[in-house]
Amino acid sequence: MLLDLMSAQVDPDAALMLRVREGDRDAFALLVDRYKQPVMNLVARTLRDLTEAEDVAQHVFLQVYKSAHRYEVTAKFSTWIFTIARNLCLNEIRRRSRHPADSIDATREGDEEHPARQLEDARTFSPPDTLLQRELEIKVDEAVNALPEKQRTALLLCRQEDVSYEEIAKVLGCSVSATKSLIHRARETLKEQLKPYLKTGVWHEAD
Amino acid sequence: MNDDLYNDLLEASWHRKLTAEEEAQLRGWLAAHPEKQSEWEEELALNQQLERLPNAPLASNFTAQVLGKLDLELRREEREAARPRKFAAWWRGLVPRFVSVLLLGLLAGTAVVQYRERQREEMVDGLIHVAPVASVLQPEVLQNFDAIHRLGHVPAVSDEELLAALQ
Repeated sequence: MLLDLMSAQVDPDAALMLRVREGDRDAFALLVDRYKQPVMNLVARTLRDLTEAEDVAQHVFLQVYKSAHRYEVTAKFSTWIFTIARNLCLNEIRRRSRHPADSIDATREGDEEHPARQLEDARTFSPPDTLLQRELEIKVDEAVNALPEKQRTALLLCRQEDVSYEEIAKVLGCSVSATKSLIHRARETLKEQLKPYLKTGVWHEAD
Repeated sequence: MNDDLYNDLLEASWHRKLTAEEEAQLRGWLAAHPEKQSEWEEELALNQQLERLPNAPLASNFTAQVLGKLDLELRREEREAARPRKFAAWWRGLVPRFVSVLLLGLLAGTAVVQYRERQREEMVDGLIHVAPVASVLQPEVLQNFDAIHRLGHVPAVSDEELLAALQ
């Protein structure tokens, strides 16, 4: 208990989580507000289906609340919640593989009613954005989505400044060096796939 | 400066913006290793593109939806938790009744068994008394059974009269 309180002083989210453990719904709402976007980003890019992703993201927070009594401040809260998010995504992917009718591939192809690139629909481009820049962003998005799950998760979590390599390693259940290797390989793949754009100088134009 | 510094700065740049001090260190390192300049530019360009990855669209009432679902979930769990309690109460009420019926059944069963045992014993006793007689009885004896039986009802006076007449 004392250890929990000391650790909670270091991690403000852990402090909130300790309040959630006592049944404080306001603290829970604060945590949801704070983590909804990073969790949704991770889940949406893993599942590639927005409706499903929102459902799973909400489920992540329900899981957080329901598991609050088991929560111990042994790691940062972000590590815990991203681990839950990843596990739920993997469960969902496994469920889909058992029911091929709802498979990721089916949603990837898409149709007029359910476009595969749902994430792009929500984008807004300010007037200065060129068509080329938009094309590049779509390519980057596609390349990221095409990465193997572990590489993609590592890369996306790496974008979160407050999540360290050690924490990413805990979420993925591997060593720090393996995590860095995953990120390195993901970046190499992206650079390889986006090379034509680099060669045409689009990247420099976009800067 | 060695490659480790470059690798450390590279890894740091994947994760966050480099500090001014780190930028200066990098510039110095790249000045000494111009062959790495293009690689660094690629890394930098990829960082910028990854930063531009759009956030997944999120319902404006996401938090409210989560809290709503949580309420539903908690209510459902309460109902589910209450269901076993109701069953337990019903079961607890049922047990004494069941035990009473079982005891009554056992008592009735025992009484029936004892009654049958007793009947059987009486029958055996009767048979023990009758058996020796039954074994000597011959059909000839039974031929005059009615006449002999009637003799038992004749008054003793008649016997005496008969005896006197015979003398």
